[in-house]
Amino acid sequence: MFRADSDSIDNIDKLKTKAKEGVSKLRGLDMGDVLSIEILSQLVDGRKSTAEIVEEVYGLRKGDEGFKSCYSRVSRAIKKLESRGLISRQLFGRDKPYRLTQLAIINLARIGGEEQQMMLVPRTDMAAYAGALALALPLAMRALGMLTISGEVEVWLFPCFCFLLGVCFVEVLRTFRRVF
Amino acid sequence: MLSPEDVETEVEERGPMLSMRSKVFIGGTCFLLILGIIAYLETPHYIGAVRGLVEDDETIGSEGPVGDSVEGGYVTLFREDFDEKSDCWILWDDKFGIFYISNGSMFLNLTESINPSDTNFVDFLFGIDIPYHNNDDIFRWLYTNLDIRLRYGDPDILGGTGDAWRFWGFVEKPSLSSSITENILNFETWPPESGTGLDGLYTSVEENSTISLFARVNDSFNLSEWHTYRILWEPGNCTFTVDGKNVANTSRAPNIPLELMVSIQSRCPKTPQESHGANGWVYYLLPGDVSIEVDYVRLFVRRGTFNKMHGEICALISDAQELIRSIGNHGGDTNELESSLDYAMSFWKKGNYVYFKARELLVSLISRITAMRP
Repeated sequence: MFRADSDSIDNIDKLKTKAKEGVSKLRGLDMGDVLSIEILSQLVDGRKSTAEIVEEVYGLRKGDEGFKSCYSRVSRAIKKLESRGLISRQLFGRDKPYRLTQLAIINLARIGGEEQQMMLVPRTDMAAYAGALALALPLAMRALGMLTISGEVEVWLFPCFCFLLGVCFVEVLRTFRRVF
Repeated sequence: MLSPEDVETEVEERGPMLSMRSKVFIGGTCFLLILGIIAYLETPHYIGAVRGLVEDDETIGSEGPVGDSVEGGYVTLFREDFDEKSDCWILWDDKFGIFYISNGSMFLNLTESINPSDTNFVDFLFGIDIPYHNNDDIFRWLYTNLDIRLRYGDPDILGGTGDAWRFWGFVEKPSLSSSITENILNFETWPPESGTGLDGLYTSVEENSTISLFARVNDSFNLSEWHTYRILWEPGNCTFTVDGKNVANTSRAPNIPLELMVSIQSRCPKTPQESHGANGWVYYLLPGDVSIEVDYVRLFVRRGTFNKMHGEICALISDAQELIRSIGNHGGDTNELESSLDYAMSFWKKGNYVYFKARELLVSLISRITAMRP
């Protein structure tokens, strides 16, 4: 029988608790975008649809007066959070409730802590992308006949480029997972 | 719980907002796609570069000469078995003859009798050569050895007697309008009809218009049967063999690049001295059925002498570049060919030298020549 690792569950719980604390701190900072913070706090507890969020945040149900305007406000706020990579929802299925992304959970958990906020594209990734582009440039110029590269340079340049290409591939996947 | 008024400060975002997931997916895919395309385009160059650095001179060209007598220690530069239509071979003048490839052989055929009294008569040359648009000769060979297996298609030619002046080997600057001059390295047969007193199979070497070898091959070869003729041309040595048997040699050899040629002519020089045709020509009536059938041609060099050829090879590449530049598809310096995908598998660099496999180059160049001709 499958048994969940109790340490993992503990870690997830800790992360959730920290994320909740992060949201609370955000509330305390009075940053202005109250609705977004409320939406994040709702999603820390689990996946929710837009209607459920409206109900939790405004106490309005479908058919209540003012529901539509609140719904559209929440939808706009959700879009904004989506564009920031903080929330997302699954691609397929009938019900597509929203959830926090990895990026949002980690960054909420880090609010007020010593650790810095995680960037969507970390500096090391940026360095890898920049390196790959730097190596790609002479290779592309050579392919277009604008530059000549000696064989001695070529045998090192191309493997380095391929290595960085592999690193970039993995990092792009990891970045995608952070906001998926 | 919030009241609707609590969020009136919300700032409206203009325009469609893509989710970060979509942005990352689109951006990442485009980024990786571009890098992937570059990697794809670069792979042949990389293979060429690695091959150029890793391969030893002696392994360039995996096949050695395969004649009637197989010898080791050679690398093949070019081989043509005429198993299929080839663009490498050019008929210089088709007024009186045809050139075709059939049943694994190349045929040079005289299709009609030539009247020597015809004042409009011009040189009748069947040439194996690589001329380009202005009839300059692009492909030349220096210190290159030749294996050529051929026979005369005329059934009545026996015992080394020919009724046409025919030769095969290396000559200097054959072109449509000029005579073969100054440097020669070939087998040739002289027809008794010429009245020169010469007949049969000869070996001929001229170096700067000075004959260093002109010797009749005494063995009675039936030229209408298949024979493998070999010319070993190396610095300070020219050796001629027929079917592996040494028939002549000389220590003086031309030291300039020459062109490979097979020819039938309805004339012959009045004397073999002072270059072909230098003392005038003898014209005579040929029967209508004169031909040469070539089974294969191979050009090869001895291992270890390959580096001595690099100068010429680079020169050839320069010529090729000139051609390509004239076509307008490419430009640039010597490295340009290497950077062209068309040549990626044919060229590779090692140190300061550029190496190539000749056949691919010839075919490719000739294809381009054909394409540019009106």
